[in-house]
Amino acid sequence: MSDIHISLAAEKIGHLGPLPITNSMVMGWTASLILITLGILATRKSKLVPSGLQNLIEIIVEFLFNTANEVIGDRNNTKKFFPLIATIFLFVLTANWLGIIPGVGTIGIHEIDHGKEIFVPILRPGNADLNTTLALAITAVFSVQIFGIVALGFWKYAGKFINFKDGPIHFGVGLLELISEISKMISFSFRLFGNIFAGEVLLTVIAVIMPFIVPLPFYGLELFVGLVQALVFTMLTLVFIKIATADHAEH
Amino acid sequence: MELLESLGINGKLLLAQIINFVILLFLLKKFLYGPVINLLEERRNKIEQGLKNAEQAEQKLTQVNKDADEIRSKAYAEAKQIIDEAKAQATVEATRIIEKANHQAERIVKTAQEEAQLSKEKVFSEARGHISNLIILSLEKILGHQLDSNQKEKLTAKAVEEF
Repeated sequence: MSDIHISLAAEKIGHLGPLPITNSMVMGWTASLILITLGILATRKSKLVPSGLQNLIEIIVEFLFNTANEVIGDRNNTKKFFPLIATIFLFVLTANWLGIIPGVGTIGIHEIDHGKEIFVPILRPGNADLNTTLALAITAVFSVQIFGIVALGFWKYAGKFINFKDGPIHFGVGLLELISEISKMISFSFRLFGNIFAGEVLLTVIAVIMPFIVPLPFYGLELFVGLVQALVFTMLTLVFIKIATADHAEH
Repeated sequence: MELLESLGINGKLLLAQIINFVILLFLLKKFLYGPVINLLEERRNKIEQGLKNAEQAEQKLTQVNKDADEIRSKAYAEAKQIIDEAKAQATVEATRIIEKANHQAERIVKTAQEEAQLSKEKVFSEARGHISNLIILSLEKILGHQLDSNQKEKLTAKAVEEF
């Protein structure tokens, strides 16, 4: 086996106008496409008595809805937040699991970059790219702010962060809250990226050292990690929404 | 900026990913969550309604059964009463009819007896008349002359007395 090339950044494999296309983006699109196709197929001929694919999709959606509802505690509110929660979960999970398919990260082309020959895989797990995970994190945290403003009103919600009324201690706490919103984005994105990138590297390294049989348990591990990371991202978003929409006085 | 670049973060890519995600979110909302959640809700309502209906039906059934029992026992009691009344009335009527029949029979017998008595008396008196005439005629033949009315009477009375 030749040397292993591990790149922290996703490799560009093409251009679409001014937009570079990266190998991780292709995987993200694939995941989206699969989800949309499944969604349309499952609900195209939906019946009150479900069967087959409709049944499976309903079980997943219902499980997600009930989980979200347990945290939020109000069906109408849950309905408002549900699309974001479910999309995060389904997208992260699908992208993670797609990354485990053999060929991802191993099928590629050799390119000359800065006078060196390097290996560029055509496919890279969607969440092994900080752009994807950061995009998710920004969307999630931004949505949390919007839900908070909608639930409490702008001034009341802003009062959580900039508080002059209750003395200097509360002002300091407010500032810390503001910083924590930013740190949420960072922890969201790096946690997911770190886990999936590490998993990808692990699989690559193991496959190079011992290509047969031995990688199997690691594939199982990555399946598990993919599910856990999707759940963690989703549950944290849920909890943040719950906190943001809760009245301060209730605490 | 260099740090971000070395991590592979690219503004254009980041924006593209955010837009991708938001598009995915809306598409899934339209094609997946909306229909599925509506359907789940609809099914939930249907089941709830069904359970409620079943419960109501059961309650109704119990009520109807109770009503039916009540009506039946009431009908039994009424029927029994009617029969009893009819029986009592029939007895009274029968007694009355028998009594009336008895009366009538008695009356008929009495009339018949009276009539018989009358005709008997009539026959007797007629016979008495004939016999006395016959006696007078026989006496006239025997004596060879006419009897005067005084003698006739004496003789007749005597004869009838002995007769």
